[in-house]
Amino acid sequence: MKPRALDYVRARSIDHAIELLSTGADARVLAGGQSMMPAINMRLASPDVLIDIGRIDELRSIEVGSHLRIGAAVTQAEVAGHPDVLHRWPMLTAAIAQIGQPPIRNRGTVCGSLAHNDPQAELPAVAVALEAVVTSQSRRGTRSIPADEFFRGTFTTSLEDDEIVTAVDFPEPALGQGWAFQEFSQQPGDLATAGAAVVLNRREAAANRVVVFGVGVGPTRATLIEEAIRYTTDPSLDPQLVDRWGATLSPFDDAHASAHTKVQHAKQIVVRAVAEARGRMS
Amino acid sequence: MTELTSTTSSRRRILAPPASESTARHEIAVQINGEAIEAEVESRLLLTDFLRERLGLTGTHVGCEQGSCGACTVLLDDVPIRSCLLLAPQIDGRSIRTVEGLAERDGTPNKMQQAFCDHHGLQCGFCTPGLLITLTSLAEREVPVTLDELDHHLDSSICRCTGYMNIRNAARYALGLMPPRVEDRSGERDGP
Repeated sequence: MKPRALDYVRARSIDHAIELLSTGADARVLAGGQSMMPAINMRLASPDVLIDIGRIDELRSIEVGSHLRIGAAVTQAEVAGHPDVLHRWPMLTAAIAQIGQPPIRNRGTVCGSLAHNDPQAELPAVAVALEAVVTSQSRRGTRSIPADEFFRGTFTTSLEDDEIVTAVDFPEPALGQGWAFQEFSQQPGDLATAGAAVVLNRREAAANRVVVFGVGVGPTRATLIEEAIRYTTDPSLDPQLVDRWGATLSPFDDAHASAHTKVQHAKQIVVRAVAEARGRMS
Repeated sequence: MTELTSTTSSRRRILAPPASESTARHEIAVQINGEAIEAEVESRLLLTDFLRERLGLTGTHVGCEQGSCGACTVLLDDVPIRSCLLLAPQIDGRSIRTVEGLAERDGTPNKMQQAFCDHHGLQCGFCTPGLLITLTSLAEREVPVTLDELDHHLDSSICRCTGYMNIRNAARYALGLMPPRVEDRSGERDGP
């Protein structure tokens, strides 16, 4: 289908975008548009105004220092193709490789995926696993929102209506950290029926993170599993524990898999991802 | 299709049809297959429809309109993107290459197009423009392409004839990836 009649405004700066967003109209922010535009074409979304932030220079940069800062207009392909990202934040590169197909990643943005919070999307889970911090801005000022508090449920975040995401920061992974990103989908590029992002630390086991997605309301920490692996170096997980954890999940049936199948996939994926992350610890 | 054009300047100018609804219009200046074009477009006009309905460039196909099928893939500043997920006003100041812009000026097919002919790389032809765009962009980049990468890029277009083996053969040939000899490819053909 085609979009219904709407207005399109290209924001010149962050301030301009915020001003446009605070007028009270039914406006949505457009960055890469790889989730927004399908929704608009199918008329699942039909805002009165689209505010395009994709060409705001202030949002176009990737900054690499003690942490990685990705501006809201930076595409997934630009992040995955950045040599420092591959070297220091390899989980991001691995996760982006699973998003759609190359033309999708050439337009889709990292921050847009976070703000959209599709429960089957890769990057929200990565943001939680790597303890990213989302920066948002509105007329009322700037906020830094830790990933743990940012994702609130299916397609829902803690962003207010008048706020836009301007950047996301990924801290430097701890030395010797093991990581894994795994997902199961019917074919490459499809949405995941279950996936996991795992971070294991040698020194600070309390900072271990096992985050699953695709089996519920967005990125969810598997706290049962996190606690179980805290005091052990055994790469395999106790199957009874995994079953117990699986019973806590409540995904929906959809065209790709039944809820039961998704839980089975999630259990497999978590077992594999924890083993892989263990193997990468040094 | 009524194409409303005026040629008062050296640039071709495309006017929007009379309004049936109150919607903002935008003046855009773009390069389409090397030609400078100025146009008046409505906010909600998709790039696919701008190319097809306003410019008559119907080589860009419309399949799913949700970014999945790849039939509408075009090059935006030399990068493959889905034209069904872009609004026409978004391309102001940028350059677009469509399947009509792949051949040489004298009509000679580019390397990828020729390989599609030689290796029977199309059946019904619906997915072909998107594939030619994606694969041409691979062929034109400086870093060598691996077979894995090729397969990954083939995955970005849906061929409902399931003619992937011949498409893959054509692309391998054009990209210099272990070219199968034409007379030797019986083992890799689809079907009986």
